[in-house]
Amino acid sequence: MTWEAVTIAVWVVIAAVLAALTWSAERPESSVASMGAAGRRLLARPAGRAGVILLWMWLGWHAFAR
Amino acid sequence: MATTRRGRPAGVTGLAVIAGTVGIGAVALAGVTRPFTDPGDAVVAAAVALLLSIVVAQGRAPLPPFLRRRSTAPGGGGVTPWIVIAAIAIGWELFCWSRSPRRDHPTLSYLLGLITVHDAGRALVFLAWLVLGWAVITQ
Repeated sequence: MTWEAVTIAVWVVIAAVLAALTWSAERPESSVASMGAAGRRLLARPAGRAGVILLWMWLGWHAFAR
Repeated sequence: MATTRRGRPAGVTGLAVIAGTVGIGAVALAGVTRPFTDPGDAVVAAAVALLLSIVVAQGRAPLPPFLRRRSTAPGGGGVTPWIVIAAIAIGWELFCWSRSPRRDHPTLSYLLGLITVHDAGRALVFLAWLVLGWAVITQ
């Protein structure tokens, strides 16, 4: 197995866990916050909001400009 | 004041239509730009400038509802699983970034680049980036 295959496989596993967590958290009896609720909790704090906005700016710059 | 059939002020609906049209234009433009070019820089800088100006205006000036922050309660439930999966993803990204060649250790940027090399893929990812930015500033 090549390093490329291993690396991509790990990314696929991370994506699958993320999808499963999203699905699981949306169930009414779940003790885990939904992705939206977790995001809102982060954005409720000024520092969290500033950090997420800075990350959003960097993502755009990195993907589309540099 | 004139209202639409759903009871919204006509001016607000008009503004939403203009914002949507500008957004679609920006997405189409972004699809045909390339990194390390002036147009590529300009389209990202314009989106960032627009978003930051909305953030500054929030709470200082009356804005249409779709640009205001929502007053939704954060909600309950644990966030530990989200923190753990985010830490794992960041750790793996840093590990891949520190190794070479990139083809053997693809980072998320590298994988995203396989999509954004095509005009339609680039436009789609730019649209997702704009929607993400709008979702962040209105929460």
